[in-house]
Amino acid sequence: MLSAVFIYNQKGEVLISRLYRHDVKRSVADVFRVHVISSPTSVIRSPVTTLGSTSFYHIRYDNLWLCAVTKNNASAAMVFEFLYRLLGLGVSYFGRFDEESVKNNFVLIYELLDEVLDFGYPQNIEVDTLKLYVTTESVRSSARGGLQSDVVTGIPHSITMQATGTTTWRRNDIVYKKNEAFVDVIESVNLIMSAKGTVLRADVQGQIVMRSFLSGMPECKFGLNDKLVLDRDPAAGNTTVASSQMGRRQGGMSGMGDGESVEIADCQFHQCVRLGRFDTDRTISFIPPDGEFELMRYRTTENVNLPFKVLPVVREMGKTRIEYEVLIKSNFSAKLSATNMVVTIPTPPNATKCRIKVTGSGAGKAKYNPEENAIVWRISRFQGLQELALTAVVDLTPMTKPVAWSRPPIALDFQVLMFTASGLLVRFLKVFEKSNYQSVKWVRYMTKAGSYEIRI
Amino acid sequence: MAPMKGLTVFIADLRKCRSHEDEEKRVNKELANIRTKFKEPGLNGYNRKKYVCKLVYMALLGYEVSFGHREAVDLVNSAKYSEKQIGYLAISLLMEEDADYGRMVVAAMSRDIHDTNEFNVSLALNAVSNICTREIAEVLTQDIVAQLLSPAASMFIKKKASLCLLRLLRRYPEAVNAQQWAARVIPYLGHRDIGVTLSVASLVTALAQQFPEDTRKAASFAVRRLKSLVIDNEYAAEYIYYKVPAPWLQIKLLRLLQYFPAPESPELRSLLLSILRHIIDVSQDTPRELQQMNAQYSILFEAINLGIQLDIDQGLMQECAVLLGRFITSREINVRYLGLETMAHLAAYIDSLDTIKTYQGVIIQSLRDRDVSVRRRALDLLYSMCDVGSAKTIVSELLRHMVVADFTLREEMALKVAILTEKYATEYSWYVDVMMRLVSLAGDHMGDEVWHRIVQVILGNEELQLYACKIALQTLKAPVCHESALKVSAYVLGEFGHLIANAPDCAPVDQLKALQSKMAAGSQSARAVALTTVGKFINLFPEIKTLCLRVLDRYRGALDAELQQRACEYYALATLESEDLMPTVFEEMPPFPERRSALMSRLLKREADTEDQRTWVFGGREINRERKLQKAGKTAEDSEEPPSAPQVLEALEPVGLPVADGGQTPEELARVAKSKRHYARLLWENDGILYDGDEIQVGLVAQYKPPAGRVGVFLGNKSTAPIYDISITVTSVDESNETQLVVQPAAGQGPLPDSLMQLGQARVFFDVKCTDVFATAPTLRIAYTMAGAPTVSELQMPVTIAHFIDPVTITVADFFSRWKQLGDAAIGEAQNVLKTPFLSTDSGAIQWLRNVVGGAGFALIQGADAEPDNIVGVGIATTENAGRFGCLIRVEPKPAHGLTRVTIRATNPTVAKVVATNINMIFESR
Repeated sequence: MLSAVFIYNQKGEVLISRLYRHDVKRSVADVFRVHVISSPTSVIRSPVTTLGSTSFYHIRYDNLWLCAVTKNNASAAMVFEFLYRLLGLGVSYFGRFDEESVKNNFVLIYELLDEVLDFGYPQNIEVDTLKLYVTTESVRSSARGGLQSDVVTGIPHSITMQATGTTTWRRNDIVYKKNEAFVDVIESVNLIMSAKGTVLRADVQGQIVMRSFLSGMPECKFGLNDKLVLDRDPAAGNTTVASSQMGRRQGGMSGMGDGESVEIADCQFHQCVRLGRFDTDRTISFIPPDGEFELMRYRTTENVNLPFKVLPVVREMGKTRIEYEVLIKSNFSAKLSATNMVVTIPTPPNATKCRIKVTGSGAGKAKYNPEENAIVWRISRFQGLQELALTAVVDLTPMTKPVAWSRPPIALDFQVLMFTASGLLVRFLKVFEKSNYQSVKWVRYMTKAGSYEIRI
Repeated sequence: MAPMKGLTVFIADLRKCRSHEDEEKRVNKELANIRTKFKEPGLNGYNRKKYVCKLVYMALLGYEVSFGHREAVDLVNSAKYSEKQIGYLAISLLMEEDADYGRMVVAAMSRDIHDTNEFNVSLALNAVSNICTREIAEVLTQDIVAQLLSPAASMFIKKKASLCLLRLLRRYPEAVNAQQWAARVIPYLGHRDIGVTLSVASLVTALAQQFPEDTRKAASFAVRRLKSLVIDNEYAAEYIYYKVPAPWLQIKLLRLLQYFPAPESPELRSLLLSILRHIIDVSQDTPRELQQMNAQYSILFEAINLGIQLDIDQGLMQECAVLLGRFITSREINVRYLGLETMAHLAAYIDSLDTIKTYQGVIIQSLRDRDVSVRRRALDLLYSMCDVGSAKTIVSELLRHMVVADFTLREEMALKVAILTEKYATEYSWYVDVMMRLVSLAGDHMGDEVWHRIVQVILGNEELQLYACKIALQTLKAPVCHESALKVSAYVLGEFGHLIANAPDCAPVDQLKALQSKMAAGSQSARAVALTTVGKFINLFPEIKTLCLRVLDRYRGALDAELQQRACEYYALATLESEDLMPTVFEEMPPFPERRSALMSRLLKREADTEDQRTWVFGGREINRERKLQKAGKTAEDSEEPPSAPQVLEALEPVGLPVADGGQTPEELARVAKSKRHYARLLWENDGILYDGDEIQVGLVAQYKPPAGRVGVFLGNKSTAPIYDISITVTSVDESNETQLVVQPAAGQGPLPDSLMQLGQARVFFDVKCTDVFATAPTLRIAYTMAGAPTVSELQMPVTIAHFIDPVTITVADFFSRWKQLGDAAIGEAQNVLKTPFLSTDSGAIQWLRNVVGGAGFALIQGADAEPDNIVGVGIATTENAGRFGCLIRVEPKPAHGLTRVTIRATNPTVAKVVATNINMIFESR
């Protein structure tokens, strides 16, 4: 029951304004701009803002603000799901969804908005389906021209079939010469550690993204080292046949035992996964959509493998000087390495001059970055089981009204390939199709830093 | 100011930032840069200024700036104007009240205030006004006052200084010691520069509200200044605003005068009246231009307000009323508004409301004005002008209007109607009718006070009760009944339902039925009141007990706890075995004790407070008079404080020579000695100089015809500058001789001139009359203003009882017999042995002695004494009421020893003592 959808650029100028009901005026766009986007007081903004009887739900993406307006007590989860779907639609149609692409595709976006909502009620928002009939030339898609004639002839029939059939997300006439499936396990690890080294909070948010290039209507089965599955059926743990099939890069995995299982705290699946089967015996079976999609998301909070240990020593020497000694140790196999590592070590707001020294081979560069009030230490490559150290002396300007420094935490940013902080492994991926073709499967693992913070 | 490139670039960078985060990053970077720059030695003035400017800009954007204050103070201390300016700007923006560098800032300000460069002075004054900490108020007030008073300071500085003082006074009234300098600031109201006068007028207005006693003199200055503006047309051409001379100053002065009582001196009073009349006359015709109209009308309204406040000429006020009558029909909304407001003020003071009443129709019409604020003022005016005669019309009009009035206005309206009705009710039926109608009409818009008050009044007046009951029943029987009306009716019937029980259609059953029919629709609180009434009915009318019990029974199961409790308890009481409890519990309520109506206090609470105190409130004459009395009572209490500084000085200086401030320098001593000589000379000579200072000279001419005399005081200006605001008065030093010596300005002489040029002379004659013997000489007080500095000289006036001695010639024998007689009686004898070294050096000394005794009013008796040099004299002091006193004197000079013995015998000891002191003084100062 959305009354309107607006898209703003970063400055708060309205790019797209679509009203679905008569209970709001076009000028509510200004209300949102004034109270949320341009409001100087709300640096931390609530995603839902209710002003008077009107609620604004917004998400930010790139340099855009997507805002849905409702006068009713709409389900916030539904509204946000819709907004993210809209976002996905944009990304899928234009490659990048930003101010420029919105400006280049006004007509197409209005056409899409007409389709996805009717009188404020969400309609079919499936990318694949929409792409069949919302075919106005988008700026990016020059290659799609050839396909168009085929589709147009079959449109009425196939849309009806697809939109009303059991697999709305997949056409049934897909043919590939080479049948392939790629699985990416991407984890982001969050940590808050006290100055003494106690872990206060650690969890992993993972997502499994799949790209399928499979002909026909393939039925896939997917297996993880889920603790519940392994406990129930210990024999399953030994089926390494499947995993050996999955490509040689699997062999690169290390740092965790094969027999280990992972306790997945909660997970959510793409709509193609048969939830009934998962509920009964926790098997993940599905007919994948064509191309890239997010198969599942999960979260684990137990037994997190922290990739880095940080030992910070920060001494405030009187009011004019602070000394830092920061030691970082990598905690994963020496065969692996972290890349694009950035360590942000905060300095007091009255820091004047920093003398910084880093030790260790390939220790990268560190410099004082006054814009962020921090020492930024960049390490392009951090090998496993390695130690790097930084020492710094920071001079302070005396403050007229002394305020104690809040000592914000040290933050780390990195990514480690072929390592999962949760210990999750893909055990198998089986593909069954009527024509019984052979398929090739690839698995890749990556761990990124979420908010990886160490207090000082 | 020369452009600073770095600053321009920085601001441009920030403007270019697309998001808050970007901006924050840029600011952090700049802050780090400035921190490093400030750390480097040898930062030059230009760079310091530039960086402080950047800090100021960041602070203005809302970022916290935690350093750089010291650099700002450095800039303040710089000699360059542009750096100083930025320094002060930074400090006034960044400084916190309790900053530890505050002392440095105060020191810098103090130095700049005393600077010769007036730009620096004004920068400092601006900064003082902007920062205005307590410390600054304590330390710098005196310096700023000095700047204001200094004859050297330019007009510009004076203006700034007085506004700065105003700010300090408002912020820290207790820290600035305003009483000390208030009197000295006042003469600036008469300053020839209008800008200065305007600023000082603001300051004095603030002072007058806090220290009405100390600023009393301001009234006369304000009146004179107004006269020069309004009547004499003395102003520079640039102060004419659309043909009106200095309207802001006029308004300020008129407003200032409202804080003082009407001037006592008839001269000032008539002057003030003529000013007011002039203003009113000028405003008789409507100016064409809008701005001129605004200016002129503002002055006029302020003048009328003043006239009302002073309350001195009813004729003038009636004329004002006519003028205002014209305004309230004006087409301009502003004029209508002001007209109504001022008329309300007038109605609050004027004796006869007749003139205003002729406009009643127009005012009632204004209740329907397009503009809501005009409607509000019309309501206020109607409330103020209401009296017994017009109450009925006004109240009925207000009630009629209530239905269509704004919601915001209704509550006030309801309150005012309630108050007026109660105040001016002459018939009970009218009161009850009006109140019930009011409750029905405006029940939603008023607090509980109104219906509480109605019940109080009905309970307190027995004559009212029967009629009230009838109306209450009628109200309940009406198809619609407002909730408050239900409460009142239920309460009244519960108390006095029995009074009408025998009337047709008013039987107890009818009453209960009527109540029951409205009860169901009432709110919880209304139903609670109704339940109590039902309970009372059981007690009043036992015949309908069963019916009542049925009602109570139904409410025993009510969801609301309060209703349920009442129903249950009343039910239990009614069904109790013993019959005694019921009548006791449901006894008739006693009348409420007389108390101030809650309505009034509620109304007064609505009056908002502003910076300047209001001089009046809406309402009739009584309430304003009450306020005045309260105020007067307060000032009377205030004045019982220990005597202020000048009085103490007077007490310490009984010789009464010019009151010197502070230390006694040799010069000072010389002056005192000189004055003493002048004074002593005038004890035996009638004409001479009394005081001869650097600025003025005071001469005296006296003529005595005991017991009366006339003393002329001549004031001459010896300096090159003119002196202003001269006043010459005579006061008695101690209370006791107030009646014994009467000193009055002689009749038939013109007023003192306003100013005295170089070598100019002013004179005043005083009539003195001795009614009884007095010991202390009166004090002559001469006040004047020179170069902006007011000065007061207090001189002892050579008028003693000895001056009222006439020579009497008697024979030698008589003299001796009387001498002996007085000596025996020992009534009054004074004997002194005085050092008179001049006797041996000066051959004419003996003759001088003779002259002295003769000049002092004694007849010399030749050859009475064996010693030829000895002098004897006889005189009689004459008083009007106490009779005549003989006085004999004997002076025995001994040139060989350089001594003289003086013996005085008189029929009154005081006479003897005073004569002895006088002779003593004369000899001493030769």
